Amino acid sequence: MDERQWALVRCLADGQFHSGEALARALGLTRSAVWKMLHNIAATLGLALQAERGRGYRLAQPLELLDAALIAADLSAVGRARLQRLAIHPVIDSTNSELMRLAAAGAPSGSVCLAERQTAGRGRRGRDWVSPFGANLYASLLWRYPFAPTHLGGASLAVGVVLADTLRELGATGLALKWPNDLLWQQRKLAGLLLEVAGESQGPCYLVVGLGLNLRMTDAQGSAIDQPWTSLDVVLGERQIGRNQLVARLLDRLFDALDRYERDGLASVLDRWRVYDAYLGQPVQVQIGERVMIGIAAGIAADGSLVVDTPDGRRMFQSGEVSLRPVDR
Amino acid sequence: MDIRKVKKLIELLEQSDVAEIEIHEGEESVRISRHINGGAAMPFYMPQGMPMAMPMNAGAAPSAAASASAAASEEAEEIITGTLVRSPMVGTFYRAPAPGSKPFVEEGHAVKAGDTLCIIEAMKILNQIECEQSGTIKRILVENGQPVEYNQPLFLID
Repeated sequence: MDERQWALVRCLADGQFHSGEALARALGLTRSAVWKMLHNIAATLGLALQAERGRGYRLAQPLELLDAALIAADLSAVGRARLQRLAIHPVIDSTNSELMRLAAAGAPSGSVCLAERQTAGRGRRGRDWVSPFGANLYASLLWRYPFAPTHLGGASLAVGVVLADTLRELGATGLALKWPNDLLWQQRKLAGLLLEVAGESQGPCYLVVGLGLNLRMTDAQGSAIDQPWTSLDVVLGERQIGRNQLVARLLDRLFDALDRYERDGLASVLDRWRVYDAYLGQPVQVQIGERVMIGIAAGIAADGSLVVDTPDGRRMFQSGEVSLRPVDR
Repeated sequence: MDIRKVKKLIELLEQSDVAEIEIHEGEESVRISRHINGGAAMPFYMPQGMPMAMPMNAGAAPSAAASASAAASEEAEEIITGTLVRSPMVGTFYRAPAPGSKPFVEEGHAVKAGDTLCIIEAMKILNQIECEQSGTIKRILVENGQPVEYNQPLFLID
């Protein structure tokens, strides 16, 4: 998206009518160029545009665009001190990829990358993370650690717990975590976390935490998702929260968790993870590569591994995809 | 002996009631035995005359162990001359940043310290494994998408 397109989206974000003439003046374009651009961004960004004779154009749904000043204003004092860099991209391939690139080039701990839309948003191995414009949160945080990358295994669960806690404080009930950190609501995916680590084998290393949170995605926007999903607006009902306020709250809590992980590791959040355990005691299958193992989910071990009672005995999993197993009929 | 062949043998053994199998092929031999107690698998690949054992897990066979002794064939000498890059953790081995994209390295590629060799996914964390020396990738010892054990050799670099 170029500068003028981005300026046009910002003009329209309020959901009010804007005359073609006013838009043309604001952007320094002809009215027909504005008209073309409007249709272009509506198509590429998946925005519903309404045109009315004599009044102009408006978005069917107003957008609350991400705003660095609003986010900073909502952060706690500690959070503001921890936030070293905040980049907001209208469109990017993936916030995680961008932050990994910046980290390799020396970006400081506390760098954050947000985007209104991702063109190559990533879920776990090879899955796309559906990332329509302005509808959800796509956020990545960078944190540096003095120790070896292998010490970060538990961070995956720790950030999952903090995400669930933060949303619960905002009024969400019935949240559950699917090992290691998929956030579910009524068996539907609400948010996902993807962590990436690089560094020297003996340390130091850096961690990028990527968060994809469904916020107010429409059914049409989410139609490409291959599993049941929900969004925070649905979960919160009447208690909906602004996007910028939500970002600030999450950054505060995630920074805090990443900082605490360096001192406490996973130990301090294990019990809280267990409270959210989505599959405890239920029949599950774990897929690793092409292998599928079945058993009964038996919680998590002290290192965060998934524990499953299989027909061959108790097994721990550090890797693999766990899912509920349909009961035999 | 080709690692794939060893893997096949282990899988064969796993599906049977046979506790141990030994196969001779020219100057090489391999013996695979099942751990009855279900303890941790510790397979070894040990060229003759090597003072130190090099653990090498066949990935798909956590309940079987293989020990192979090979005469000092050319292949074995080649293995000895390189440096093994081992897995720092238990996880799943990926050769490319994403499925369908180009692998980080191929056999024969020149690499330098700091280059990313592969990704090991564990606890839904994608760990980029960096090269710690300069050299040439002589062997890639694990197939894409396979589980790896702690300390399992991943690459041979010379």
